[in-house]
Amino acid sequence: MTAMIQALVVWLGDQYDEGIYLPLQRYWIVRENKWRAAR
Amino acid sequence: MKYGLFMMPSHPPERKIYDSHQWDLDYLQLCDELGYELACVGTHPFSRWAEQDITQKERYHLLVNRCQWPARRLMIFGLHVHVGIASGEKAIATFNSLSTYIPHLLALSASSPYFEGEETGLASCRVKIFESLPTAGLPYRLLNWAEFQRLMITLVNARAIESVREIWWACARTPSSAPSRSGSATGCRRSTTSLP
Repeated sequence: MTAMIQALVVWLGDQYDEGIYLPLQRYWIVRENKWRAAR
Repeated sequence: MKYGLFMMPSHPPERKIYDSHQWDLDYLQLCDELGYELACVGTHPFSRWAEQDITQKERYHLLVNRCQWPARRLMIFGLHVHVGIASGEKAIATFNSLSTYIPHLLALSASSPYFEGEETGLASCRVKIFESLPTAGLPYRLLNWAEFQRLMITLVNARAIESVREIWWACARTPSSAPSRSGSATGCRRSTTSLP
């Protein structure tokens, strides 16, 4: 899990450095998905 | 019936990383020899939170005093992953985007079906317990570093929090030597760590 989280952050950070717009998921989708993951 | 031994993979700060790791390995090997199964959980499956002593640290007692019932229920364990990021603006952009993956990380690490001896029916009841705190759960989506600072200053001035260390969003940014962190996992245990 630690390696995956660190890799995700680096992957997103590299895109930021290259000037690529980082996509944002809609807040309500994240919230609903979080509930489904917990369930 | 299989027996388990409950332990937290935490160490006193004076213990060096190598020694800590070695201590864990020795311990796990001993447990193996005794026939214990390895599991990792985000909640203690059957203890009662109301009967637990709270660690004698001023910080914890201040938190319980401020938040009351949601804080007293925190008989839970999670994995914090600290990731340093070069600038505040980059940290905000990265973490706004990273929050998309919080459910994925939670799904992979969910490991708390039991609480207080009850089967909750959830894969992770830890996350439901934790998010009842005012400063935990899904993070606000912030425009930039300035807005983050403004939020923190407002919360501190309003005495809602003592310091930025009391923000435990599923992914959070903290100024200082460890600018950002993500802790959305509940006690999962494959070989060493714990997530929700």
